[in-house]
Order: sequence, then C-alpha cells, then structure tokens
Amino acid sequence: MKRLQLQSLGLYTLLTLMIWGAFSCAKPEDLLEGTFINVQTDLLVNPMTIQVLNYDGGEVPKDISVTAYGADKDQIFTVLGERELTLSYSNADKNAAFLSLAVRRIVEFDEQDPLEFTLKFEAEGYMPLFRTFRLMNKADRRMQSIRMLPVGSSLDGLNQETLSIQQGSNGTIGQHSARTPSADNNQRVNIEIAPNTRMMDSNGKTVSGDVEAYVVSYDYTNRMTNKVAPASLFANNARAKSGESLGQLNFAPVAIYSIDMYGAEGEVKQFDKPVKVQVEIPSGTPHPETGAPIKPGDELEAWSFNESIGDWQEEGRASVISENGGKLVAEFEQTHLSTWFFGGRRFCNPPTQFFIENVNQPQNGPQTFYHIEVINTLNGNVVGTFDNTRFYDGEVITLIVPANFQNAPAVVQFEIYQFEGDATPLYTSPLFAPCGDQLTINLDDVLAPPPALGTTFFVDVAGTCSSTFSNLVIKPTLPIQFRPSGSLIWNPLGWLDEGEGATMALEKGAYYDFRISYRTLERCVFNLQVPTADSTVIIESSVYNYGPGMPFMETIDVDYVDTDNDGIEETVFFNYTNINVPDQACQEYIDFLNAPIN
Amino acid sequence: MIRALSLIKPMILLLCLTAAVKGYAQSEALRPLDTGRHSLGIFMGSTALIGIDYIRPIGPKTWLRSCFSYMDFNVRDWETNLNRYEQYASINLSVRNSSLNLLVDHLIVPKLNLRLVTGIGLFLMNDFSGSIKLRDPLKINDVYFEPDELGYVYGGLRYNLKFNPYFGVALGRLVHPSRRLSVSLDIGTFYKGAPEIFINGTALIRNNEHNAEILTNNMSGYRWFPVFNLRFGYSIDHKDNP
Repeated sequence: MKRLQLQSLGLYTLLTLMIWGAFSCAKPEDLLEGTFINVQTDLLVNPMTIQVLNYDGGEVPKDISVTAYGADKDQIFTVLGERELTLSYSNADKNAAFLSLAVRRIVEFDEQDPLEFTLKFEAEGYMPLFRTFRLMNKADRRMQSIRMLPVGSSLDGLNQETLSIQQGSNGTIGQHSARTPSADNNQRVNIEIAPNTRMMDSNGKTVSGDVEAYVVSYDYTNRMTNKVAPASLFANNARAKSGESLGQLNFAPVAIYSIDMYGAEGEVKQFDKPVKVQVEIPSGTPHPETGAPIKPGDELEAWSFNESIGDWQEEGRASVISENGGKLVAEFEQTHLSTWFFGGRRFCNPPTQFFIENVNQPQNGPQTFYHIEVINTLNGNVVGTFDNTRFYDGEVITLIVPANFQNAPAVVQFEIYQFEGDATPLYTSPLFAPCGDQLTINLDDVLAPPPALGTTFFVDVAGTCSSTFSNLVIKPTLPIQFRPSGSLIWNPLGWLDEGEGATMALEKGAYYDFRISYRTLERCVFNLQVPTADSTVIIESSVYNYGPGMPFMETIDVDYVDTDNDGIEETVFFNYTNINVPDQACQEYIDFLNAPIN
Repeated sequence: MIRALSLIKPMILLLCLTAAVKGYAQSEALRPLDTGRHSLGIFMGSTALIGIDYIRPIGPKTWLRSCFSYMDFNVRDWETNLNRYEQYASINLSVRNSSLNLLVDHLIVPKLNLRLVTGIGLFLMNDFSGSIKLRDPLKINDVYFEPDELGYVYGGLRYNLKFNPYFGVALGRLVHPSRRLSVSLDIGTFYKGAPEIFINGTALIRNNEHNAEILTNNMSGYRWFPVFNLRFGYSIDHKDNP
C-alpha cells in the first residue's frame, strides 16, 4: 500500500512537472516584452504634391478651393482620404500652401493607363487656374508649383486691358472694344462687342448692370507665364466641336488669350451675339500644321478651355487676314468666354522619353531635386517648366510640352537648374523632337555634387508613443520641404519613406528653413544651421505640450561619420527616432483608427 | 491531406518495426495479466483530429504502440469580433502537426490501470500559422478602404525538431481482459524544442518582422507541447486470448 502511494506520488509529481513544463515559463504579458509595433502613415500613396504660391511671392489666399475634373477625378483624394481637396496652410509661413494629392493603393496606373485629371484652383478675387496632369508612375513622386494671380493684376508676360461695359435693358449700350498693349511677343488681342449684346452667366441667366472686362494675352515666352497661365497646353481627353472625344492631344498655340467679365450679379460666360476677337500674329510665325510662315488666307484652329469638363474643346477655325500695314491678324467670333488659343494640335503618343543615367543619384539613395525649363530653340520660347525633378539613375522621364508644329523636328531642349531662378543651368540637353523621340541622357558628370555639397545626410524619424502606448512606433512617410533661409520658394528636400530618407542637397554650416506640410501635419522650422560636427538639436513642438508652460521638446542627434575611413566625415546621420510622442498625439491616432463606421 | 500522405512511407516502416517486435514478444510467451492482445485503436485530442494506432504487447506489463496522428487542418475566414470590438475580423488558421509516433506503455499501477508512456514522434511539418484582418471595408473620411489596403497581420510558430520525444501517463486500458472494447486517456507532453516565431504585417502595419526574433527569444522556454488524447481500442485477437 505504501509502495503504491509512493508510486502514485511520483507519478503525480511527474505529471505536475510535465503540465508545468507545457504551460508555464512566462506570463503572457512577458511574452510581448521588448516587442514594438511599427505603424506606417501612408494610408494612401501620395504621387503628387502641389505648392501654391502667390504670383508675387506674397501671402497666398486662404480660401483656395480645388476641384477635380477628368476621367480619373474620382480617384483623387487628400492623403487622409478626403474627397474635398484641402490645402495645408501654415501660420508660420503664409506665403506658400501645399496640396498633397493621394490615390488608393489598389488603384493601378502606368504609361499605358495613366491617371488623368485636371485640377481647378480658385479663390475670391483671383483668376481661376486649371492644371492638367497625367500620372504614369506611382513610385515617382512629383512636385509642382503654381502661382495664383489676382484678377486684374499686372505681371510681366501678361498683356492686359481692362474695359468697363455699360448695359441697358437690351444688353450692351453701344459698341465696346478693348485692345491689349504692345507686348514682347508682338501679340495684341482686340475684342469688339456689338451693341445690344445680352450677357449671360454659365446657366444662361442674364447678367445685367455694368460689367468689368479683363482681356489678357499670355506671352508664353515668359517663364512666369507657365506658372500663372490659366490652363495647361495639353489635353488628356480633348473634345471636338461636336463633343466627340479626341483623346490625348498636345497643342501648338500661336496665340493664347482669355477674356473674363464680372458684373454685380455674377461672372459673364456667354453672349447672345458673338464677340469678335482679333489676335496679331508676328511675321514669320510658323504655321502649326505646315511649319511654313503663316500668311493671309491661312486658317488656325480655335480652341477653348471647357471649364465644365476641365479640358480643351475645338471651336472652329480662325481666319488669318492682313490688316493695314501688312500686319497679320487671326480673327474669330466667339459666343462664350474662357481661355482660348489659336494654333494647332498634335497627337503626341508616344510622347518624348528620356532614359536617365546618373550615378550620383540612385533611385533609393540620397535625393536631390532640380528645376527644369524646356526651350524651343527656334524662337527661344520657354515651352514648359518642371519643378523638382530628381533625374535618378534609371529614371524614365516622359515629357509633355506644346508641340510647335506638325512633324516638329528636333528643335527642343531642356535645361537643368539647381533652383528656380538660377542664372546658369547645370546642364543643357541635346535637341529633341517634342513628340516620339527617345534619348538616353548621361548626367554622371554634370550633376556630380559641387564641393560645398556632397555630404550625404541620412534622416531617420520615428515617434514612440510614451507611457500608455509605449510599444507603438510611428514611421512617417511624407515629403520634407526646404529652402535656403531668406528664400521664398520651398523645394523638396526629399521623401521620408517609412521614417527614413537621405539627401545630398544640404551644405554643412549653411542655414535652411524646413517645412512639413502634409494635410493636417504642418510644421515649420526656420533658420536652422546644418551642424558641422556631432551635436544635438532641440526643437520645441509647435503642436503638442505636456501642459501649460511645459512645451514638448524634440531632440535630433546629429552624428558625423567617416564611412570610408578617408579622414573626411562625409556621412551625417540625423537621428530623430527618440521622439517621445505625447499621449495626446497617440490617443488622437488611436481614436482616428477606432472611429466608428459612418 | 497531401502532406499527411507523405507520412505513409514512414508509417509502413513503423508497422514493420512493430510487427518485428511482435514476433520477438510472442516468442517470450509472457502473458500474465491478460495483456497479450493485439489492439487497434482510434484516438483524438490535442495532437490529433483523428488518430489510429496498433498495439502489441512486448512484455508482461509492456506494450508497443505505433500511431498515426492526423492533425492538419485549415480554418478559413472565421469571422469574429471577439465579443469585444465594433469591427469583425476574418481569421485564417493553418495547422500542420500530423505525426507518426512509436510509444512504449508500461503498466506501473495495475489497480489504477495507470501506465507510464514514453516514445518518440516524427513531425514532418510541425508548424502553426494564421492571419487576421478586418472582415469589412472600413470608412476613413471619404474612402471605404478594403481590408487589404489597411493591412493584416500574419505569423506563426514552427518547431524545427522533427523527432520529438514523448513523456506521459495513461489512464484506462489499452486492451480489456474480457471485452473487445477498451478506453484510455493519454496525458503527456512532446518535447519539441524551442519554437521559431515568424510574424509580420502588410500595408499600415508592414515591417514588423523584427518582432519575430524577440518573440522567438521570449518563447524559447515553451518547448513542451501538451497532449490530452482519448483512445478507443478494439482487441483483434479476442477469441485466441481469453
């Protein structure tokens, strides 16, 4: 009996040990000790950011609204998934606003099936501005700058005439005419409004009372015109006069103008009698279809920008006549107002492409952005400007610029500048045709960083939620803007991808402003000197604090490293990873994720 | 199922081994406790959705068991809110834990029908994996995000040791002296070695694979896999062995 008890005791002990072995060892919470969860912020992908400036660099209007048009307008959101495209403004820098566009991850687009849309920017007292976009690559993030132009403002490159029109019960009282002043491009626009012309808004409702008219001729030889021009000079889906779809078109404008009229009862958009428009054509201007100089008896296509669809629509053909003194004039009668041009079209598919070779900038390496101007060498006109292009190794750049005339020869080239406004280009490309050309561009030497630059800055950013959410690490994906202190225009410093980024655009010891403008995340740091040695930079948070009088401080560790042991510390690590995000911020994020389904 | 079929060759080998031991045991002619019967059984429990075994006495109080435990299954799109959350989750699970086992049962307390069981199991797969994601699209601002856009967590646990020693006890009879049917309960544990954890996420929770190493380290003590199996046996030589 005793033996049985001992046997049983031994067995039960063994059993207990086995169960203990199987189920104990650690408490469940101990199993998670040391773990942390990386949380990404790129709910949607952000293929394009648009910087909105005032035409003169002054304060940008606060009430800018943005409307999307085009086939893919429903695919465009803010980076927070909002349909209403809201800009980010900063109280610390009121001279620039940013629009961060986003598309869903599941939306596919490429060269064969690009994302096509047009954005209209409008603000009270400013000219509406349409920009057409064709995005072909989700991975290549684009930056674009536009400038808002107040109605009636005077600007180099815009030739403008203002006209006051009196109306009676039967429409306009008497005949009215206006003619833009002489311009550098020798183009003057003249309009004539017949007596008793009834003016109407876009719905056909009569606009009575006096009307202020603005006739503007756009001189596209001026660089600024590209920024403030009312519409892009290509179409994602142009329309024939009948409304039939014509698809993608590049335009070769000879003259571009807009007529805007505003009364106390609204904006005039149409008339019951046509308005006669005449545009002077400089002698020797090539015909867009033949390339031969335009002569009397020729016809030019007349196109208007259809603001209801956000794309260009064919209106008919303007006749070229010879006025007194032998001046050439293109003449057309139009019954509605918007932006118009006389010229020609070109199916530009495939567009011209460049294959970039640049050892200085691997695709996933340090980022440096450049400003591009595209020049028609026949007349020196700037036919396009592109902000913030990287030219990374292996990049394929598709260029969409106005085609100068049918079967255009290789007369176009582009120039690369470090910053917009620089006097001397870093590089001038070979001549190419505006459509269908393919060139391999080697930038190994010309874009090698100058001695003052050449330092690689690796930036690592991560925010760890403190106390309650100590194992939640936020890894932001967003662009950082920068500018030399004192400059007005922001340039992209680079993209943080999952909290990591690298740039070669900073100079040791130089002073810069930095800005993050990503929908509701708006941060500015001004006049920050790039440390020349290991150091710690402390920044006071403009958003969060621990309580009244207890600012939340952020610390950046700057470490210089001689990575190749040549005695030069050419690599710098900006370690911004020990950010203890206040619980308030983490709670906001948790609340956001836990928001009830609407 | 295909993975389970891969165990067929080792299973045949196991049966041959058992048969060889059978010949040796019969030559000993030791059957003092009505234990000298062959038995076939089925069992189920923590290591087997269903298992089959063949039992052969190899001593007066000792049996040899060769078992096949089928433990491969998938759970697809199991929807639950865990009675806690507003959102429903969709859970997938995969268990690959089928095994061939060779066990030795030794009767140590006849009055209690208590046996000590030791042996070894061959686990060819030995892993458990799963994923969890939201079941329904989630509206954030103006977008209904598909669950895959938001991301999901996937991971699992793998034991790299293919031969797992077994230790345990068993209650009840493998064979009954007067009946064909018998019932017994196995309680024990397989030693599986330290588990290897793999875990990651997609979309918003991507790049979390670093946690695998931490969890593997934290769970290095979890080397024993509990076994609770209920067995029903059927004596196949009842008449020859009264």
